[in-house]
Amino acid sequence: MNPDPPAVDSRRGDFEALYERHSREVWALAYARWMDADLALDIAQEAFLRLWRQWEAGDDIQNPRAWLLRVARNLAEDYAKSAFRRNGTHPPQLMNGVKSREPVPLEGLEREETFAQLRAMLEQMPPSDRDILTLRYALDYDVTRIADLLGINATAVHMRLSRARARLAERLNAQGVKTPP
Amino acid sequence: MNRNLPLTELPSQGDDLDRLLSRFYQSEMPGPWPPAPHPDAAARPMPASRLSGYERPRQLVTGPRAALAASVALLLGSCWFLSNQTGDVPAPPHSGVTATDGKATKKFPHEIGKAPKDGESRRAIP
Repeated sequence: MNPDPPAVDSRRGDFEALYERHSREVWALAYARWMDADLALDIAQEAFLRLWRQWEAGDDIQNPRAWLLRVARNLAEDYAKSAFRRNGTHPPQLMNGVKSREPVPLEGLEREETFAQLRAMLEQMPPSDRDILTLRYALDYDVTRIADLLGINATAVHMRLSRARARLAERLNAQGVKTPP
Repeated sequence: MNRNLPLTELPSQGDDLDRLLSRFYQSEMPGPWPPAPHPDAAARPMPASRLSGYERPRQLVTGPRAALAASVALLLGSCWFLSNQTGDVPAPPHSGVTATDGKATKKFPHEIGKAPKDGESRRAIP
């Protein structure tokens, strides 16, 4: 417990700085779990709000980044058990079918189709591999940074990344998926 | 093995895949990135979102359980009340049966073995 918590304004500044620095990482790990961008954003925001509540309660969190990542992971796991997931309205792939009235250019259609195939392949991969792929390609992190965030060594990150890429390339080739322009 | 090889030196046949993955993940990233949630929101109940389920399970579990317990208690109470009531209820009038001894005291004309009165005919049984 922190007997003398910082003033609210200062705390708010710290909070926003933390959000700016780590919210994308929190989002990325939540996204890697469910492959759902909106849900990942909900989880990231909720994790930060819980951090704020902890501060208000006077808790001294030594490593807010690790705390946030742990809370986000727990929230993502809880979501698996939640009633919404079991009895939800529509799975994301059905919602993808909602189209605009505007005609979609052929290029966009091809891209959407490729992305849908890629998403399906990514969903079949182990979540730990998706963690690495998301940090690498969504946040453009290098091996060292990914290793630091996930708490594993750089060699393991490199191996898993190479293996995941090789598996994806094989599947994409087998399905004849071309890289969109 | 490509141990400790920087990502930029991964085999070139992966360039297309790299590009595809980068585009895919970039398209998934929310843009523009939303601002930090306002801490005041922490004091309010969460908005209706898919995460609402995290806060509600306890409510969802205890609500129906309490209602079920109340229903069962009401049912048992009603049964007990009604069973106590039936012991004191007098028999309906003209039934010929008293609630105390359960014996019939009134005799009816159609009782077996009694001859029919005048004007009544008994059908012959073949």
